[in-house]
Amino acid sequence: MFSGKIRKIPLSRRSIRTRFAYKFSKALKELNQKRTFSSSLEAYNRRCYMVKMASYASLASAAGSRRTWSRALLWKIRRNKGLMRTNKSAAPRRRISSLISKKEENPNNNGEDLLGLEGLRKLVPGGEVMDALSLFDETADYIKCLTIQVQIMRKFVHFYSG
Amino acid sequence: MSSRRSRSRHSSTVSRVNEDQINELVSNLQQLLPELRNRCSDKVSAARVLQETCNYIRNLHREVDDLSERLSELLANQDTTQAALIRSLLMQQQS
Repeated sequence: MFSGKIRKIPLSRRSIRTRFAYKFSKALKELNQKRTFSSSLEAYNRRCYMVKMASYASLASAAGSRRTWSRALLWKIRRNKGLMRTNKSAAPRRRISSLISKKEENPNNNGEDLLGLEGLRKLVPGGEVMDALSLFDETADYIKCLTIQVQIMRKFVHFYSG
Repeated sequence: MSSRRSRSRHSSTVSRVNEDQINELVSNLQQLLPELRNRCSDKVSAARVLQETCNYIRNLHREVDDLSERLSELLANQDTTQAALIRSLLMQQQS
């Protein structure tokens, strides 16, 4: 009876901590279902990468679309997925790396860098296109969410190794 | 007329970001950093706060990397132990 009561509260009205934990555990379950039983180094690296992407995607969708960083992060993850899917036979790595280097070649220099905002712009998703005020605001929120992500992931590790 | 002119002049400075707003946002950031949280806010420069913010985000990213690696290992191992368990149960049934 008690558990039935808990389930009735919609996920959207729960805390970001709960939403992240729920989405991430669901994503891990899905990852585990389509797992290949290969033990090669490539498969191992790919598994690590998929878990990481699942974690960031869960965080972004738990944070919701109101935040610029979460929209940018989701967009980046989806784009990378698309690139990986469409270029499986072609050389996917070259294309991804050329996209990344192109982005880093033209930083927008508005003379704001007296404070050292360029470093932040590269670290916060979507930071390249934010004005200084929203960059600060989004950074604060991003840090809060990253901290929650690390806390919950530690709990997952503890749970699975226990 | 003069008020309108001053307002338009004001808006051009606002677009270049108000100093008070920046200070408030920087001290807000400082509260989130374990390294600087307990320091008096006027003793730490904005540049220092931003630098520490970058370091902190990098550390958190690195930690997510490590935790992802450990989780994927644990999940893979969990599956192989489960598979081994199921296999041994099947063997027992057969014999």
